[in-house]
Amino acid sequence: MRHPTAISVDALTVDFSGFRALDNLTLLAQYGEIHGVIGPNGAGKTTMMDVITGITQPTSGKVLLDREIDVLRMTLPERAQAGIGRKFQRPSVFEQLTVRENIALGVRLYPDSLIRELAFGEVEEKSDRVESVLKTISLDHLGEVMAGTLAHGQKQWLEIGMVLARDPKLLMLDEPVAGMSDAERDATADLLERLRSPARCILLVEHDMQFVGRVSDQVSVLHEGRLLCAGSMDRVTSDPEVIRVYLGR
Amino acid sequence: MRQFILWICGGSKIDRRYLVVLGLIALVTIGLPLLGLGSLASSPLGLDGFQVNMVGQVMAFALLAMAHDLVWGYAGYLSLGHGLFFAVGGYLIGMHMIKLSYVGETGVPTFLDYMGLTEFPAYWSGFEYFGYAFLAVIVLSALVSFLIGFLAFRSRVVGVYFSILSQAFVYVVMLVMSRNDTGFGGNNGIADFQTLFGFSLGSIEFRVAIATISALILMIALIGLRRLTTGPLGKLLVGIRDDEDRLQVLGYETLWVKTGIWCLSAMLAAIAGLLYVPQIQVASPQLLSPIFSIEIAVWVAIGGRGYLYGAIIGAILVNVVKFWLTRFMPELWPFILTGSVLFVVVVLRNGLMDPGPLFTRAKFLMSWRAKKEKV
Repeated sequence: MRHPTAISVDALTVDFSGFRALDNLTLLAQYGEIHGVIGPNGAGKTTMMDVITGITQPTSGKVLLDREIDVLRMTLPERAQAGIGRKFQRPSVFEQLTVRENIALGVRLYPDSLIRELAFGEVEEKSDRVESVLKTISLDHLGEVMAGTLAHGQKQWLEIGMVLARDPKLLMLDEPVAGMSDAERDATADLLERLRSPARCILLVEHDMQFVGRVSDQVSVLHEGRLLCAGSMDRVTSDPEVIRVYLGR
Repeated sequence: MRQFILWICGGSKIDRRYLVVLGLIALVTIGLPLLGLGSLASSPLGLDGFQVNMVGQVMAFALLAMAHDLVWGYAGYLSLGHGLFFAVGGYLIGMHMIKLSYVGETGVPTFLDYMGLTEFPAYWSGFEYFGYAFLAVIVLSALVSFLIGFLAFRSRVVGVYFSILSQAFVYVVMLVMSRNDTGFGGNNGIADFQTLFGFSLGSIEFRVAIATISALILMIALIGLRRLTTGPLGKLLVGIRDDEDRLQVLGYETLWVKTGIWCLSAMLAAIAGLLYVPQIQVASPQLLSPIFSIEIAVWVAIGGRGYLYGAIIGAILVNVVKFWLTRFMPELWPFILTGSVLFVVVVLRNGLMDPGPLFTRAKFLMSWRAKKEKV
């Protein structure tokens, strides 16, 4: 059964003063799946995520959430409120705050009013949510530790947790296993399996092909800002174009 | 009792240094009326009018420094224009005191007479009431800071550009207020204040009262801001300082957080100005000079940013030394100020509240020397 489309990127083009980072890129990702996005360096994977999050403005094209919400018209915080969550490539946790405080920043009981959040947001409901996220990312024993002192892999999980606290519909992960040990990779794969839900679409950008093949249902291959090929991992890896791009002529 | 101390500290931990500074201010608040008035005043421990005045001014400066630290130490925006808000409070309370001395009389102060006016212009009306003047201080400082903050933050002006912008604003206002035609006495500013709340400004009773009130307000503001910054808002501010994009992607409209904090800081600075001007009895464009605004940042840098009480310590330390030195060795003051800035920049980059860099530097030097000896 095909699940409903979570995010559709349509004819997206990004020009960086002459350099075309994305060139008419089209990509679809469904709810309930983990959608791997792979491609050589400079293929435009991170740029695509930047556009969806709102950090980069596209030259032309469209991005629709749930087939109807025009993401590009929204500000960064509005996109987060609409259910788009993103983990950055470089782990960007707040090092001066504890692990628990980091997660708490992600939890919003009153997503539409910051004043109400600050005035009435510090209640049990919030700490319950924080605890459950801590358990999900297996950092519940480190709640009071300063985030800056965490190991690299733990920071990656913590950042996933911060995003997860908002229960996003679309979870974008930019290189979640970069620099991780094998054991940490296994733990991350388990985490992603746990995060899979019919109400969520996980977009995974990763260099580690083996990891992508292990967790993804669908894979899109990007090359020079265009979609080269999409389908299951087996299909994609046997595609002559993909082989040519990855192995050279 | 413990519950109460925790409430004062905000958060769940007791912060000893914060409590020490708070206790110090409480001591000043109680000590001023005890040593300035009554029987103790004539004892060797007693304070004369000049000393009381000095303590009062330093308290107002400390409040100003703390307001500055709220923006710089927590949100990460260095303002080099906080004198603007200080001057708003100063000029408006000056207008109140002038208007007060003309109640039931005809005529205008000389600086208005000079402009060919025979009665107060319309915007002076209402200023004979303190409540109105106080409201004007709050509203005007909030309005001015909102305009500057909203425009700057919306256009994503950050870092050194924000500092330059804030400096430009205070400079422009100084130029405007230095003109005689602006109606605020030009370069000389407004002075000749007589009374406030029925007290003569020169009387010891008034001096003690305003110094005590300054210390009291400083204490209340410190507790209030401490509770604010240890709470959820403080975490948001740290988030803005360290990685604003991250916070936005988490769904926070940081523009409003920054603008709100900026306006709060401006209003506190204005209240500090309101407390300061009746003590020096003049409101002049000096308050608006870029040098003064930079000095505010220097107090905070020396004390240490991001602690609130660090800013207070910095302001007290620098100003006490300044008062003392400018009395005995005025020519030395610029060198000492520059020297202490250099000391902080080179040796103690986080200010006096964080002596850490001093030790790591000593350790580094020692290991370097040991290595050299081996070679």
